[in-house]
Amino acid sequence: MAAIEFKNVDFRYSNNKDENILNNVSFKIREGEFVSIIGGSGCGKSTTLSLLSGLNRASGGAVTIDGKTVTGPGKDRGVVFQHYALFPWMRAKRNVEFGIKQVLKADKRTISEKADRYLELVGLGGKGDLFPHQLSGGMQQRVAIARLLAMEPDILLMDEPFGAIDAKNRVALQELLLDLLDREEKKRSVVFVTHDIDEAILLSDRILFMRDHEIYRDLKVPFDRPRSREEITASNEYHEFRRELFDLFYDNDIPGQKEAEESKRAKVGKFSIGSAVGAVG
Amino acid sequence: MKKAIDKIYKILPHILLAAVLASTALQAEFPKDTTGYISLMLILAAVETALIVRRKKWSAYGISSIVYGLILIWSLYPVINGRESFLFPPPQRISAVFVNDILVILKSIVSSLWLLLVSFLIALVLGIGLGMLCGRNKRLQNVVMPIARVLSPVPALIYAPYVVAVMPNFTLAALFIITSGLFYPILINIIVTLQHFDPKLRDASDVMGLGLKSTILNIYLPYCMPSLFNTLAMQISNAFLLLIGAELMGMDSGLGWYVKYNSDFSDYVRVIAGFIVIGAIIAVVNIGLQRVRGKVVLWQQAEQ
Repeated sequence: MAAIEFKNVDFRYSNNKDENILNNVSFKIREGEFVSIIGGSGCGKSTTLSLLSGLNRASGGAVTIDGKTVTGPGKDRGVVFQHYALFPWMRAKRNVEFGIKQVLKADKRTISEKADRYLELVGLGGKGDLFPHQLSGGMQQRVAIARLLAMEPDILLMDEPFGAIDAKNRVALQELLLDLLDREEKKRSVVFVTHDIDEAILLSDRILFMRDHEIYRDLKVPFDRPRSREEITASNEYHEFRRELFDLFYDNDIPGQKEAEESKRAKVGKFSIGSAVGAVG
Repeated sequence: MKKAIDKIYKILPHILLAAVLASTALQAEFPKDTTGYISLMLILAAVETALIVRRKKWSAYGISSIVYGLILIWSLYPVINGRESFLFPPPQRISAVFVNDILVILKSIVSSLWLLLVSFLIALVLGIGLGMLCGRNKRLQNVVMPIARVLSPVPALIYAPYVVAVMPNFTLAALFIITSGLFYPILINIIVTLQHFDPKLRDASDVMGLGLKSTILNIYLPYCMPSLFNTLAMQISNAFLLLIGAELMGMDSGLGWYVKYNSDFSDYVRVIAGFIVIGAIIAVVNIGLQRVRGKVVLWQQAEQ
């Protein structure tokens, strides 16, 4: 397990030094905590994750894991991207095996069995021989999650992992992730970037709301674990919390847009979470 | 109407085959030049067998009709002309060469393919190796790419007189010329492919913290394979051009040598036989390359 800290972190691209993509960002994530980062497009969510993954380095301040500054990618962190990022020349099982091989020195059989186990876990038992392009988007993301979990990193970094998946599969994958994390003995820290308010509430312990390249609000999700979608969405607390986040999203936004989204939401109904109004940003 | 056309299309190659057999049987020398006729019959039997085996493929009928049609025109030419042409010998004379010169031709094929294979391997190892390093190291790429762009358009055969003077023997000179002709297209292909490396895959491999060896072998190399095979397919003809050119410099075996040696004696029967063997070898190498491509980049076929 690992604790994460962002301390006065700034980030700007070397070819555009006048514009800060992240501006004095500070937060801490405890070991085993599931934190979602939400906010409008271009507010710096994915950049925050890329600094944590080591793909980019902070221009100012410090990103640390267990007190050690992040200087590049590491085997303690695993990433799932929105675009699946499976290697197209490797079959599904080989993609998982390849991930395992990077962190585990073991014989072929052990690695193969482990890959089978994780594919089974994400509901893809028997699909290991297919190439990524022979799988649907949802299935590809399941393989990516299997690869991530099989690598057993201390920190899971997920950048809008269900953003490109249809509503039905998105709900199924949210449930799967919730179930897998609740079942695991090892409690991992998770940083999850999303546009989807409902997804963030369902999955997270805390939500960091970003606006204008800064952390605007740090909110604790008022539900204990393990939790189920049906239970929490039936509570008033859920709708109040959701409303608070919704107001944050549309505060100072285009006149009339908030009302239009609310009216659309009312038509969809309160149980179709994570589908129609998911992408609010 | 369409059914009738289809029927004619299917019968046409067999009618043309019968015409070829009749025209050759009617010629004056039959059966004196037995070897020639028997070998021609063997070639025709091979085409007919291929047609029967692949009869489900519609194109097989068209290809067979063209082959039989050309042989028919070719075999009728001396009959129409009234005598055999020195520069345009009849097919049975050419086919006889395949029997009479079988050992020389086989030796030439082995010699040429060996030269080609070794050159290809050296060019592949050097081109892919340097290309991968350039893909990984922008600074190296900025140095290598302009040099490659200047040197690659220079035809490798231009070096021939100088290389022959510098190298200790003709074989090494031929190897150098063929390798240098293949090296630049492979190198440039790898560098350009890696310049457009999918950023999503770059992120995915970067976050795994792969080392240089693993990145090259497991990520870059398979990523480059489809375009590399396309380049190789295009370079096969170029490679044969270089091979023949290199063999003409002074080698004492090989298909290029066979054609050159016989043309020096104005033996156009053997020269044409040499052309046919070179064409057949290029076709076989191309088919082999496509087969290997099918196995190596199976994932891309699945994608398509």
